[in-house]
Amino acid sequence: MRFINSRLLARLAALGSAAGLLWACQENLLSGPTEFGATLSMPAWTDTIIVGDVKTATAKVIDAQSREIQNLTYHWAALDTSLAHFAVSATSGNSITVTAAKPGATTVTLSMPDQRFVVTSIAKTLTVVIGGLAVSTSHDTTLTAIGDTARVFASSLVKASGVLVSRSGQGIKWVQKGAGAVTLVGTGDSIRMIAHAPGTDTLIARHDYCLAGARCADTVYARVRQTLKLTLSTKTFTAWTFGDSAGPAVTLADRRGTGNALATVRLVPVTTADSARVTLTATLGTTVGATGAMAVAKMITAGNGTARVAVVGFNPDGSKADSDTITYVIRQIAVRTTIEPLTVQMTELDTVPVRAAVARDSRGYLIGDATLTTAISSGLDVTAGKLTVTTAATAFTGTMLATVSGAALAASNAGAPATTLAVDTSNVTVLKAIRYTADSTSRAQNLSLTLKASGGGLLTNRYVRWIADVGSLSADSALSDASGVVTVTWTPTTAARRQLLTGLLRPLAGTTAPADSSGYIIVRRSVTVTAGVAVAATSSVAIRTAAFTAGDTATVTLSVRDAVANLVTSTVPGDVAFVATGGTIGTATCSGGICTAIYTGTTTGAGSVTATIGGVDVTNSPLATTIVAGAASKLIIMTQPVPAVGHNAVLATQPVLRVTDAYNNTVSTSTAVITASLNQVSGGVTTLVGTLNPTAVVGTVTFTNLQFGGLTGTITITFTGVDGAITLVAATSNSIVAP
Amino acid sequence: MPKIQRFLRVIRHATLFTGGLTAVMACRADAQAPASSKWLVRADWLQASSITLDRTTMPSIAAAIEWRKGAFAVEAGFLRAVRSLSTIQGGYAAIIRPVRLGPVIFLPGIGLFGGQSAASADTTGYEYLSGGVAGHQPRYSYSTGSAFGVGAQLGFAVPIGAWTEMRASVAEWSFSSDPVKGDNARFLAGVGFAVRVPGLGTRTPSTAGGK
Repeated sequence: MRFINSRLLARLAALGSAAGLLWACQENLLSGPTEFGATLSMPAWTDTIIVGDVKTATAKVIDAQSREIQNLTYHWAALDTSLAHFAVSATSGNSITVTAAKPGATTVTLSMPDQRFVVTSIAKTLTVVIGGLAVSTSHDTTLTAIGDTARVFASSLVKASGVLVSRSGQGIKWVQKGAGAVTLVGTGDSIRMIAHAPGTDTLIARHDYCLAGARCADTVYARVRQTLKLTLSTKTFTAWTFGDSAGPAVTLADRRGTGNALATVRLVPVTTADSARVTLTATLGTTVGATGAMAVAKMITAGNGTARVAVVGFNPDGSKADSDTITYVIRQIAVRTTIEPLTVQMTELDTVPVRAAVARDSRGYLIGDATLTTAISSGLDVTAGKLTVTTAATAFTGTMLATVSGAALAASNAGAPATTLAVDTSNVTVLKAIRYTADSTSRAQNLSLTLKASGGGLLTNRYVRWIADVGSLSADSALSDASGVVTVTWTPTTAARRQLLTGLLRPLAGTTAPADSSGYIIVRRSVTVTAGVAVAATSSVAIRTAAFTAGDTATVTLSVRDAVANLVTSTVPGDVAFVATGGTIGTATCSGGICTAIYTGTTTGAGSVTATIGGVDVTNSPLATTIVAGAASKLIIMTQPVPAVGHNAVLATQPVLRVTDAYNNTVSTSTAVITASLNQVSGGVTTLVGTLNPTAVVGTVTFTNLQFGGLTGTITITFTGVDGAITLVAATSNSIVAP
Repeated sequence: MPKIQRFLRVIRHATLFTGGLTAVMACRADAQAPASSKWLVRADWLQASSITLDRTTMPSIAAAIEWRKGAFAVEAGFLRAVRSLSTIQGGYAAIIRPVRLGPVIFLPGIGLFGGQSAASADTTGYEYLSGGVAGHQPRYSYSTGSAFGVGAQLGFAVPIGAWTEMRASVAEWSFSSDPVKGDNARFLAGVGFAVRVPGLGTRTPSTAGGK
């Protein structure tokens, strides 16, 4: 082994060592990779969860080989950590439980802060909602007084142990709609409302985060409807007269003392009878909403008795709020009795309307139920409201008065004020009847009257209206002077009649309610004028018609008047005379100054009627008349036939006939056909020949060629005729001996 | 594998025992130590204890110069311990108490090591499931650092001729190094050969065979 060079071996060893070291530099030990590509995902995730709900969310990372990486730590972060709590599952690192704490929305980020992996974080929107919403108090809260408060609760439905339960503090919002009936205090689940004004508000509880499809709003009606109570200052009133007004102070307010400006109060008599006992004024005063003081009408007494009046308070919507009843005891107390008119001047022939005796209370109102007793002087009588004179031998003065008794007396009513009854006495002056003839020259009537007032005083400064049916007045009216005297001069006319002057006391200006204050008659003076002597010049005659057909009649009227044309009613038939021509005049009759007689026209041609008084033709006398013939009625032989000397010869005198009416007036218009016939009286048989049927001309029939034939004998000739439909009365000639 | 591991464990314990024995024998090395001295260069392949190596690199080796004189020998050289995920290499020095028993020279010894270490550690990999089957995705971190170690070895040398020896050895090294912290023991087994360096030391070929 010598040939082995040790130095060579060393070199080989050194070379080998260097090679080894070089080889050793290439260790190729594993390193890395620095990071892995991976994909982060959330296989289990719920975007929307209900408060209280617990959901599991999982995360997963898949590497590039689609393998699910285990044992990783994930980072869950919510932008708003108050909405939800995250808790890593004790059994699985890649899952967490999400517990919803309160409603809202936030962003949840899932990241994996592991430097080994390159992953993109995931951002999810987590919406925490409530499962619904409910108002847990009444849905209809009515506050009955301004200032009342109420609380409204609403709660959210959240999950607890898997079921929905109500829970507060979940961010409920309230929306108020309406007229502002209430004022809301507070927010959230519980709010308080304070009654502010009558009305209705809608309160809507809602939530911005509510499960879709769930009931996410609820409505509460907040009503403020004041319960108004009525308070009356007085409930009982008493009056002793009509026209008295009274009423209580009325307060209509809620229990806190607040009223309503729109509320109203009405007084309503309970019954019809109550309505007759009191009337109501218009509403007085002003309603004050702050205090409940109400404008209200007052009662006016109008009837005796106890009136019950309901006081009804109404809410602004018209519904009844409250009511009460007041009582008004009304009892008129008489302070005066009166029979009107208080002053009367009348003639014995007249009547004057008299009002029934009345009693009045202190306000002058009539007491309808007063018990009155009337006393009237002798010689006077009042029947059916008319004052008449029963005995008038001479002019005289009487009285009328009334006294009262019974309930209308103060003494009959406890508590009534002491009152002295005054009695107004009516003075009646009776005058004798006044008469004169129309031709009298002193007819003027001077009248003077002293007016008497109620209470016995003089009635001054009052008008009396004078009304005369005829005649002239010095004035239409007169004003009573300081002595209560009114005067007038009345001049009746010459008209023959009873003339009347009436004095009417005018109503007192400004007088109201008392119904008997209207005018009444205080003067009745009558003058009787009679007609004077009949005078032909002022009297006149008249006939109904001047044209007559024979047989017609007409009344002739003669008005018999005195010198001033008054009918002389005392005229009798002997005072007048009627004379007629062309006809006849019947017996005269007279009545009321009118005399009549019947005139009958009989003879054709002109006629007349003459009327005279004391032998003097009256006006229009004589009255001319015209009479024409009437209808054809009969035949009259004007010329008897005379036979000829020889046998069978034409009659020496041919007969002539006329067609006349019933009054023998020739009917000139007649065209009657006349027939002549022979009547054999004795002897042989005689015949009548010739023209036997002539026609009337201007009412005249003339035979021209009648002759006898046959044997000699005594005969008559009968003439008959027909005028239209009228068969004329026949005419027979004298006996004729036919030769 | 359990049998192999058991076997290796036995070998390792035997190596440690040998180390201890070497120390004892070193104190009494007077009678058995060869009287002559010689220089040897040897090289060992030591990957037998970790045949599987998942990377391409030089396997575990040792290369040293050994000087035998009398009953003791010292050697110094390069030692490389390679595992799939680590490498420790550096220089070492050992004292050996050769004992000849027949044709076999037992070479128990103890040594010190100084060098560096490099290791990959799958500390940041991840587990996964794929189709229901669990798996692991490794992620290696690589680190290097200085390394110091102590070791005990037991070599078996059979001289072949006057100049060479066939060798087999086992050694148990314990290193102190951060990269292999927690995995600092290395059991090395392998075979090699040694060549006597001519011209260095006394030529005592017969000694190798023992008297």
